[in-house]
Amino acid sequence: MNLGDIVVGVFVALLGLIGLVMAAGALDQEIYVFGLSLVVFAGAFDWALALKIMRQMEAARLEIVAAGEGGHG
Amino acid sequence: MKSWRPGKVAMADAVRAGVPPVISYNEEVIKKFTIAAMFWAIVAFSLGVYIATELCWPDFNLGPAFLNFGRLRPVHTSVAVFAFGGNALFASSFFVVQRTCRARLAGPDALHDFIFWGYQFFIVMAGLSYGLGFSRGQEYSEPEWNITLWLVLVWVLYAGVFIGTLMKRAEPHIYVANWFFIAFILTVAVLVLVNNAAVPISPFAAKSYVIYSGVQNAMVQWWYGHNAVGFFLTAGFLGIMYYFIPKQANRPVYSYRLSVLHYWSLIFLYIWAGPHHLHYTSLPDWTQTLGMAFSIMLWMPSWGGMINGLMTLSGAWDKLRTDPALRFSVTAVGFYGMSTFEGPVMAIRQVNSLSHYTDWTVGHVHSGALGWMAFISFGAIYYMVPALWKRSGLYSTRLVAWHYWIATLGIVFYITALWVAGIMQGLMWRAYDKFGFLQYSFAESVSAVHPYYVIRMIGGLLFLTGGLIMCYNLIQTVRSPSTERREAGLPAGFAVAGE
Repeated sequence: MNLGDIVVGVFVALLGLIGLVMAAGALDQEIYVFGLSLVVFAGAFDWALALKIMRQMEAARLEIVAAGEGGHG
Repeated sequence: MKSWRPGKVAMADAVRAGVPPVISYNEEVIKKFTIAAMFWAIVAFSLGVYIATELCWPDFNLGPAFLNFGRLRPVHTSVAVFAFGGNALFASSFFVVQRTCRARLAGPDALHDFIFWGYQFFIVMAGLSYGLGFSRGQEYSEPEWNITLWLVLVWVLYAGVFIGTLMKRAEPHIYVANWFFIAFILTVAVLVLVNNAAVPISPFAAKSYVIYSGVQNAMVQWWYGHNAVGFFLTAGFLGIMYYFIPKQANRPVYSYRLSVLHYWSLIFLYIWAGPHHLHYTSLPDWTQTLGMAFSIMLWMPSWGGMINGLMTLSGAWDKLRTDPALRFSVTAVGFYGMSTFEGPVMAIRQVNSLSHYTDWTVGHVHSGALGWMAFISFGAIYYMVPALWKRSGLYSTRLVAWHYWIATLGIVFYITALWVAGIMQGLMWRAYDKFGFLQYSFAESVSAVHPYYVIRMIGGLLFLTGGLIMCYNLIQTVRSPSTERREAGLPAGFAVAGE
């Protein structure tokens, strides 16, 4: 797991929260659309990032398992 | 003492140990930017054809407000310049900086992904807001404050990644293409920040008040507007020229010294030329003259750069017969020379009195945007796609040739029609009869240019057709079995030797 990826993920989540606040208090259509879109953007980005990190962790785990089996054989 | 360039140390250690250093470039993000550039290119060209059709036959407005010319026109310009051009610049700058520095992009991959998706988010939000009727009403700077703030965030991170990569380079010097990219990135940041200095009426409202008033606002706007052309549409794409033409021609840059002179003179002179957009306005006369004088002086660096680009082909001109992608790049340099000759002519006050507010300006912009910006991008993308997707070559060079000729014909139709239309408009607007009255009404000038508008629309349609051919060719390049993968005989760091 890369610490940099986690920092980016948290940062984008915070941006999503800002989007939520903007949409909630919006005085016009532009801010409303922008705020909601920002929430969706942040959610989708972090979802994709989490999937990528989990895939990487799974691949690393399988590599360790394979190396272990190779060592015993 | 610890080096401030860890990449160089790693490379030196590897060479000492006799092990070829393997550099793993982040090519995934470049692929994404390349795909996005082609997607937005088709969107921009389609929108251009549609709004050109609206100008020919206003019934094509169809009724809904978001389809009106007034709302779609900024969508077209923003998508063409910032979406197509911007994505092409992101892709090529990340491609070039990694190879010329022999270093992977600085920062985590998630940051690079954020820059990509964040930039697409900016484009979509800007387009949506124009469609909804929100705009600052300043050309090329239409997004409201919240969208601009988002762009600033993405841009600062882009600058950080680009400069960070330069700082960890394993090469001793910074190749000239990167200097042009640095100028593009830093100046665009300054331009956007200064021109968008505004006070929102509320954090929850899109409207804001710009801090400059009256003619000062106009001057700052055109300082921004002209330098968006100078640094986004010129310096950035010159970075592309200085890397991809030597690579395509397999020749070194004709004169590295001239390229450095080109760089410093261009960035010094361009920044002063903006007031030529405000001739015969309330802007002080001396400021208009200053803008005009610096515009004329710009001939020297522009043509110096053009000569440098063209002369790089010395001894390799025959490649133009066999490599249609190189033809795009070289023709782009020709258009660069032509439009940077035409621009200063139009900046002369007396010429401007005829050309301003006419379609001559629109034709001039498109000779730069289509002939220079789009063609140099096409040349670079045709080069990058087989390299990024590890294919043996392009699916069809014949299709590249078709694209080239159809697109070139489209540009010729477009710009010649608007030269004639623009000069005719200018002459009609200034014509007086023997009693001192205007000879023509405005409506008569609109009616007179109608045939030329139709020719312009056909030119745009040809350019769009060329773009669609390119997309098909690139998709086939990636997918077709006929462009089988290259043998990976060398590690990545050595496979691109020559940078």
